[in-house]
Amino acid sequence: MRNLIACEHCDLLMEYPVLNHAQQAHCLRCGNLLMSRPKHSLQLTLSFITASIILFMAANFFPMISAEEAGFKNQMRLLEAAYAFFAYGEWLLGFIVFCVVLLLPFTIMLLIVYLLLPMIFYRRLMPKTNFVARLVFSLQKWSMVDVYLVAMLASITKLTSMVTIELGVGIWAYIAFSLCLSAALANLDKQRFWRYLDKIKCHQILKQQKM
Amino acid sequence: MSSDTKTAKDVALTLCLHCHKLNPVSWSVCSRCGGSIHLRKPKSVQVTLAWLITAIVFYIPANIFPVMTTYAFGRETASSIIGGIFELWEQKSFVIAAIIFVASIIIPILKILLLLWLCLSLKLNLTETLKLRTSLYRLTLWIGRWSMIDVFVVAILVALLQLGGLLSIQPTIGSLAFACVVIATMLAAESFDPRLIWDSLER
Ligand SMILES: [Zn+2]
Ligand SMILES: [Zn+2]
Repeated sequence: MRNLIACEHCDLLMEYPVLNHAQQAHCLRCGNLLMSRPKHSLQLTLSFITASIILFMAANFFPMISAEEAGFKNQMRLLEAAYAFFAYGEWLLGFIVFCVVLLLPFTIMLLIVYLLLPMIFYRRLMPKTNFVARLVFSLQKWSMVDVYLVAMLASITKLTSMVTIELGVGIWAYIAFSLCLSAALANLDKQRFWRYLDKIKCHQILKQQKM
Repeated sequence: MSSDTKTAKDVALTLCLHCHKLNPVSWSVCSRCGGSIHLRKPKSVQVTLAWLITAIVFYIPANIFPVMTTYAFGRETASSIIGGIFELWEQKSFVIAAIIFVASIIIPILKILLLLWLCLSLKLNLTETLKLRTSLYRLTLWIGRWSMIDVFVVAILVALLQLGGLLSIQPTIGSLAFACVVIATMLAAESFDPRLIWDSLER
C-alpha cells in the first residue's frame, strides 16, 4: 500500500513514480498529471509567497489606474476593486469580487506561510496543520488573481477609448504579484507537500523516542 | 484494457482527494490528513446536474439584462455583454473583443454542454471515448474561472469612471446573474467525479 498511487481522474493503481528534478509523471491510462517535481519545490513556494505578500501590499497602497477627463480626476487602488459595487448597493456582487480578488488570495498566502515557515526552518508543525493544508488546497482554485489581471488589461483598452488614463505604480506591483503568486502555487505540489509532512511527523516521533 | 490494469476500487482502496493517500474502503476519514473520504464523490451526477440547472437558469437574465449603465454627458446607455463586445469590435479592439467573447459567451455555453454530455454519457453507460471524456472534463475544470473576466471588467470600470456629472457607470443586475452562472458552473465541474467514466469498464 505504501508504494502505490491511484489516479485522481480514473482511479488506476500505479507504482509510486520516482522522479528526477523537473520531471513530471502522468497517468498511464487517462494522461492526468500525477506528480511534478520542481527544484526545491516547497522552499521556492515559500519565497515566492513572501514576495507576493509584499507586492500585494504595494498594489493595495499605490493607485493602479487613474482616469481624467475635463478636470475631473479619479483613481483606483486594488483595495477599491469591489468597493464601488457596495456603494451602488450591489453588495452581493461586491462580496463575490472582494472574496475572489482580495480575501481569498490574501488568506491563502497567510495560511501557506503559517504551514511552510515552521516546516522548512524548524521541522515543526503548527497546530491544525492538516485542516489548514486541506483548506489551502481546496480554496486554491477560487482565487482569481490571474483572471483579474487579464480583466485589467482588457479594461485599460476599453478605457483609453473613453477617457485619458494614467497607469500608477500599483498596476506594476499587481502584475508582479500575480506572476509571483502563480509561480508559488504552481510549485506547491499536493503529493510532495503531504509526503514532506509525513517525513516531519516521522522525525518528530523519532525525536520523542530518543528523549 | 488489459487484464492487469487494476483500479484502487478493485483492491478495496479509496483515494483521499485531499492528500492522495490510499485508505481501506471501509474508512470514512483519511488516516493522513483527517479529511472525509468517499470511494466516489457522493451523488456526483445529481449534484452536478443541480448546479448545471442553476447555471442555465441564471444564464437567461445574465444575457437579457444589461451588465452596466453608462451616464455620459447627460445621456444614459445600458450595455449588455454582447453589446459590449460589439462596441469593442467597432472600436477596433479586436483582441480584447475576442477575449471577452470567448470568456463570457463561448466558455459558459461550452462548459454547460460538456458537463451535460458527461452526465448523459454516464446514464447511457457509454464505454467508448473514455480518455477523450476525461480530457474534456479537465478542460472544464481549467477554463471555468476565466469567464469571470467580464464581471471584473465591469468592476474596474465602475470603480474608476466616477467623474462627477460628466461620466459615470453603474453596475446592473446582469453582472450579478453572470457571476452566479460562473460560480454555478465551477461548482458543477467540482462535483463531477471523472472516475465514474472509467467505472463503466467493469460492467
Ligand atoms: Zn488516470
Ligand atoms: Zn487524506
